[in-house]
Amino acid sequence: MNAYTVLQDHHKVLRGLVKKISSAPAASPERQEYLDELLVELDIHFRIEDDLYYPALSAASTLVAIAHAEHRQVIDQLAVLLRTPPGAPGYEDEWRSFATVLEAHADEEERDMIPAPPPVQLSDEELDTLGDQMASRIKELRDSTAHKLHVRGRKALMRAM
Amino acid sequence: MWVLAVLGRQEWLDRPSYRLEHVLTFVFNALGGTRDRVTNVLHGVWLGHPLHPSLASLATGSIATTVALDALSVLPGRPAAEVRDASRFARRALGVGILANAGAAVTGVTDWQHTHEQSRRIGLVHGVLNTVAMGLYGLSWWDRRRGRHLRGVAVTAVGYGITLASAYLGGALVFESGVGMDQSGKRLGLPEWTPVLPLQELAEGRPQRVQVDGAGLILYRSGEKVTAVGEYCPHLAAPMVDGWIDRGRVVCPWHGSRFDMDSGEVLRGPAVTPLPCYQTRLVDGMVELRGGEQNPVRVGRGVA
Repeated sequence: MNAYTVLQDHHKVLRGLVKKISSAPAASPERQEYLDELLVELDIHFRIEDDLYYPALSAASTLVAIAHAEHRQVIDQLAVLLRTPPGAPGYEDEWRSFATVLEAHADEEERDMIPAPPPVQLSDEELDTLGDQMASRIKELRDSTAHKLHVRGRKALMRAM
Repeated sequence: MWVLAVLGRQEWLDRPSYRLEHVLTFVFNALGGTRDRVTNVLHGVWLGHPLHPSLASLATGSIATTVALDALSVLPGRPAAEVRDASRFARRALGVGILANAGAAVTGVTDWQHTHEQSRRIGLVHGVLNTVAMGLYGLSWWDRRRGRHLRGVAVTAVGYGITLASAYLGGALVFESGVGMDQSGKRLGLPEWTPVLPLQELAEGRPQRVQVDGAGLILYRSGEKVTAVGEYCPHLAAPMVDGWIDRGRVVCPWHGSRFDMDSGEVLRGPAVTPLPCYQTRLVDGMVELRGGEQNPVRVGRGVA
């Protein structure tokens, strides 16, 4: 599968979860379940980008550096969200801030890095190979209990901070 | 300078540098609710320019003092009392240098984590060299304490050589790459109300760039309120047209610097200088702007 399609499809997964979370009541168990799912998918997303997609686009180093900076901003806002109790008055605001920064990153990536800008030269075959690697990594991480535990442990740690 | 060009091309440093940033992300977020206050202090938001160069100057100056006193203490034919005093003061100056170096390291790494590409690679080498030098200063201080004065003098001299080489890289980051400098571009001073755009052309959540007197400005709409700011983030010139308003704060799309939407003051780093900000009003459905910063220090390099 083409790498661009894999990335765009995964953005759709993230956007879908953000929408579900936004429409569920703040302290509901259902919302926390969606949030847990989002954290797993977000971790998977950052991994496939950091480990596969961005290295393939390394010739566009300016954009890759910006993308890394945006990841950092997403994680920093996620840390703020996780340490805010769901029942706290500011929780909805922190959630909206997180959703905004995540959406901004996805939008900019789709605008600037899909398709890969010059001087990146990727043939159709290379894009398919990269896409297959990304898709199989997504599947591997989704099926991994260790990965889920890792994300859950990190969430507990961030919440404790 | 070829050294800078060579270091700037070392793309293999990116992987470890992002790994290091992941560690730093964890460390800074471990500060919990105090994270932004601490990072603002370390970036130098309270100072209006980066804090790191001040501490780096103090560190380098203290070590230079140590080296000068060391030279005095090993010159032949000096009176014993002078040698003893020079050695004692050298150790104290070295102690100050070590503390200042530690401060420079903490502030430096706080700034470095938000740099890109060549600056990031050169900054990484700068940091590694300073860490090595710092280790040598610690060793030298210990040697002196244990009475191994000459060895302490030699180790400090080696460390100082490394510090000077590293300081060259640090200077290049500022003067050639502009790290820590205000990168907001041309700042306008508008003495009169100036119409720029009909409000109906400005949608909420979709900032627009307008050009006034050759300078780009970004307009954000929140209901009937319009915020007008400079085109580039003062930190690394991120395009603020990709930014957004969050609870009265203009947010930089790259590193998340936040600025007061009415004054442009920095609320959260890594930016340390204010975002150019203009007064706005609506007249018959037209957005008008006035004001802007008149900073005398900037006259001659882009103030219209």
